[in-house]
Amino acid sequence: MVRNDEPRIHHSPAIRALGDALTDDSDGTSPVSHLNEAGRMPPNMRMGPFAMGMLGFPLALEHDKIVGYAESTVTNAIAGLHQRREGLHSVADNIEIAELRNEEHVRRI
Amino acid sequence: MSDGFKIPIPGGTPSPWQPGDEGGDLRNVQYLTLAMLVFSAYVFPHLEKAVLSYGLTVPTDPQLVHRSADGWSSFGGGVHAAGRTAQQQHDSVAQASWQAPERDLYEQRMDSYVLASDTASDSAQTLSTILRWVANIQTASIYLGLLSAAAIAATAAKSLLMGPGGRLYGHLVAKSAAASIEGRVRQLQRFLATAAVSVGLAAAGAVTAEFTLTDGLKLSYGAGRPEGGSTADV
Repeated sequence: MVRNDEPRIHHSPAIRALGDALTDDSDGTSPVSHLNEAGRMPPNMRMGPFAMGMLGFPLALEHDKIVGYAESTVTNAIAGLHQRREGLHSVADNIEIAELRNEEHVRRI
Repeated sequence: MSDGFKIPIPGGTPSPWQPGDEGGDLRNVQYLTLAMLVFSAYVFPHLEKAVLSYGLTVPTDPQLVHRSADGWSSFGGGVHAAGRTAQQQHDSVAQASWQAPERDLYEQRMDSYVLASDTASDSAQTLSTILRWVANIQTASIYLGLLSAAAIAATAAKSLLMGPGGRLYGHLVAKSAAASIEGRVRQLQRFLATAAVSVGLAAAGAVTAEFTLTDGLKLSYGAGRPEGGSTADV
């Protein structure tokens, strides 16, 4: 819960840097790069229906389905981290705009 | 344990990321085993069931299963590292730089993201271990099948070329003589029914795997996914 009477200290470059660190590798490997690496599974990671024999085809099919789930999840997680980065940048922008307006308001007073 | 625990497969490439790894290294062994069993069943008819039984396990490919295990192991490591890195990045921002309720909200989101990453990583590592065991059991079964089929085929070939003889020959002849045509047909029917039950069990196992082995890997659980949000409640 956000309470309006709590103290607020915002250092917008640090907030932007936190957002950038999610997606950029300038300060070490970013979470997005780790996920890209994770998503680079071996070629033909899907085994095909008969890698476990004729009798094991339901299990092989299920495995390949789970590979699909994992790929979608990684793709979604990468998109989510990019979204989070944009969110942090927007927060920093909003803080700067709010502070600027506050200053103008105080000056008018 | 998962990365290194492999029963060697002749011709198998050490890394699934190397070009040329298309699996199938033991398929010819299985076809040879099947051919030897077919030949043996020609001489000792009661072996029809063994032919059918082995035929339903072909074409098992442990190399493909090992490759998938490698992939899951790598996937789990990458997802785990992504979660930990995001957490460290958050923790590295000094309190003096950002001290506001929004930071706590962001921390909560990061905590849930790290938890989802760990869950996905654990599921991937579990899958890797299970597949490694499956591949090793498959490899051992293929080698064992080859050895037993070779022994039976050698006995059959020897009996055709040099006349009957030997303990294994006596055992196989006695079993074949005891099995009438009707008995063998009944045995095959029973075996096919068992095979159908096996497929059913495999399907049930697949459904169970869908619920028990996909924690954090399916989108419906929000695995590894920071939720989208407005800029006001990062």
